[in-house]
Amino acid sequence: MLDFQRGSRAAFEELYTRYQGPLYGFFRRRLGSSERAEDLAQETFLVVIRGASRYEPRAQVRTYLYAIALKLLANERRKPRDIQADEVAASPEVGPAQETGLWVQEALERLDPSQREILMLREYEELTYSEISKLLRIPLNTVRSRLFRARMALKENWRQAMRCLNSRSSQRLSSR
Amino acid sequence: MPSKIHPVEPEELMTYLDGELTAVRATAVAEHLERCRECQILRAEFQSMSQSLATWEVEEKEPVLSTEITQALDQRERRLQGGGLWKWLRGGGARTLKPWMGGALVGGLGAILLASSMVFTLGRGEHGNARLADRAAPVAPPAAATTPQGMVGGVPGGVPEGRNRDRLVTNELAYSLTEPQRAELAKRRQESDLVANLEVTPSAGPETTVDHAVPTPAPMILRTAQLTMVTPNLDKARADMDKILQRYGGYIGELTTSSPAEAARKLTATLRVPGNQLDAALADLKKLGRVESESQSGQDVTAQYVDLEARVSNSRKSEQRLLELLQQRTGKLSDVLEVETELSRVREQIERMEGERRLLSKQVQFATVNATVTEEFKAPARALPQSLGTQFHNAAVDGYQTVVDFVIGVALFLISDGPMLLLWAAVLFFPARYAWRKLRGRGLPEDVR
Repeated sequence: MLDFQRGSRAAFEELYTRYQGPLYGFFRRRLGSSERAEDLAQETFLVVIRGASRYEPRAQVRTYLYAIALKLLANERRKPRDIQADEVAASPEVGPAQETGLWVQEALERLDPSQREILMLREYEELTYSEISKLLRIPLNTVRSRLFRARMALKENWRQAMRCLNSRSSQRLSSR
Repeated sequence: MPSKIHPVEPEELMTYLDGELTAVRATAVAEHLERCRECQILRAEFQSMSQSLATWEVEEKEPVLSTEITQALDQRERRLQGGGLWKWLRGGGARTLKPWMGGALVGGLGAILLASSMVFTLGRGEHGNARLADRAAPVAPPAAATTPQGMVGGVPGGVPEGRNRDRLVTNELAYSLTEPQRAELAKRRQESDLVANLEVTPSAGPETTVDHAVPTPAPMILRTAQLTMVTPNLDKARADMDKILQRYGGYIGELTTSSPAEAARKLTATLRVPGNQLDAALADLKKLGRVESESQSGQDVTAQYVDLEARVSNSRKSEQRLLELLQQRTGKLSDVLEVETELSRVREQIERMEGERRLLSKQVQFATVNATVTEEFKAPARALPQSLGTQFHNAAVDGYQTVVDFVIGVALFLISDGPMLLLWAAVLFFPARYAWRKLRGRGLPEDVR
């Protein structure tokens, strides 16, 4: 990042190669549209480019990137519902890759939003407790306790999600 | 196994599995994990959960730079290499300008500078810092709300929507007091504390550094007089008192009159007379009646007044310095708030002292006369006693009236409460009779009860 700040284009390309995928995954798991997820991932890098001169290396680059991503995500979620719906409608339908984790999504959706975000940051973005704490601006112990509560709640949700999945599978089999 | 006696809490186990535990605790937990079956099950659950979560995969995307990103990178490179206005100026572009264009440019820049300096100056005031926040809004990078604290620079203004600007302004205010400014603030605080201490001990010693060099005014004497008089006609005395006050430019601070039935009428007044007219006014007031008692007192409040003046003067200086400190604002928000708190404290102090000073000045300017004027008591003539026949007649009438009132009262009581009494009597009659018979027959043989 510092090399890029000094003007190295190659440094940016390396940064992009390394984090484009994780950032796309971040948005993809939190938004319904893959196109929108891709746009926002690109937008994150645009923000990085515009703000490179003001960057100070006081935290890890990925924390910096996810901070921008979280902000963009919050902005996206604040958009009026009809705009979001249009964007989702314009995007391709749920793909097979997403289908595999459908029951996981259902179980996650039942969690409290604050717990879900921490759990997802830990499990999918693989951030440390300290990074999550800095990102969400909450104490480290709060991160730990919420993460624990999230996992315990998720454990309870597994059974329900599995039951839903089993019932859907049986319905499909019967329809065939 | 109850968690109270379990050496490793489930949350700690989770922290261990996430690799977030300290080395010492991690060793202890690892050792415990080898032995504890319950914790092994929990570990398996956590691991299974992570594996299950990992099944939610998203499609891979080729890391291809979009056109927007490429353009942004190009723009940045051009900027870094020196583009835009600077490049144009270096290239001799300024030479192509017409003379009037240059004049207009300079004039326009001057006007903008003048206008902004005026706005800046006018913007200063009681709520200067609120305005500072408003002015800071346009330059505050919107995306910095979720930026970690470690990134002071934050995210630049690349976020498309500006609707979070208000919320973000406070996060982005780049206040930071420099060290000399902090020292200045500390010094101001010390001086203000000293002023506050002076309030408690007005006779502070000469070692205090507070500036007391206020010109000493003429002696200020707070004069008070007490006058008690008896007058044959209170109404006339009251009218004369008003005339005297009018003549000397005084006024009535407070006035109370009382007219008890079998006692003399009395007037109690607090009169305020100009200090230099007190003696003449007192001489005239004494003519209102016979003086029973008179006393005068004078309290020198010069020192108190001078001290107040000095304290006000010092506090004003403190206020001025704090204002200067605020105007040089480049501090953290907390520091600015601290300065504002200090400023409001000093201002409150000044207002209080000013009030005291005004009161003292007014008390000196107008002397107080506490006057009590009592009218000579004239006992009223008693009426002639009634005849014996009249007294008997009156007694008979009173007796008859009393009997009638009693009968009517009883009748009214029976009508209003009689039904309820009858009901209670009916309810209580049989139990009462039973109890009475029991009591009467106690101690007697069974067959004669």
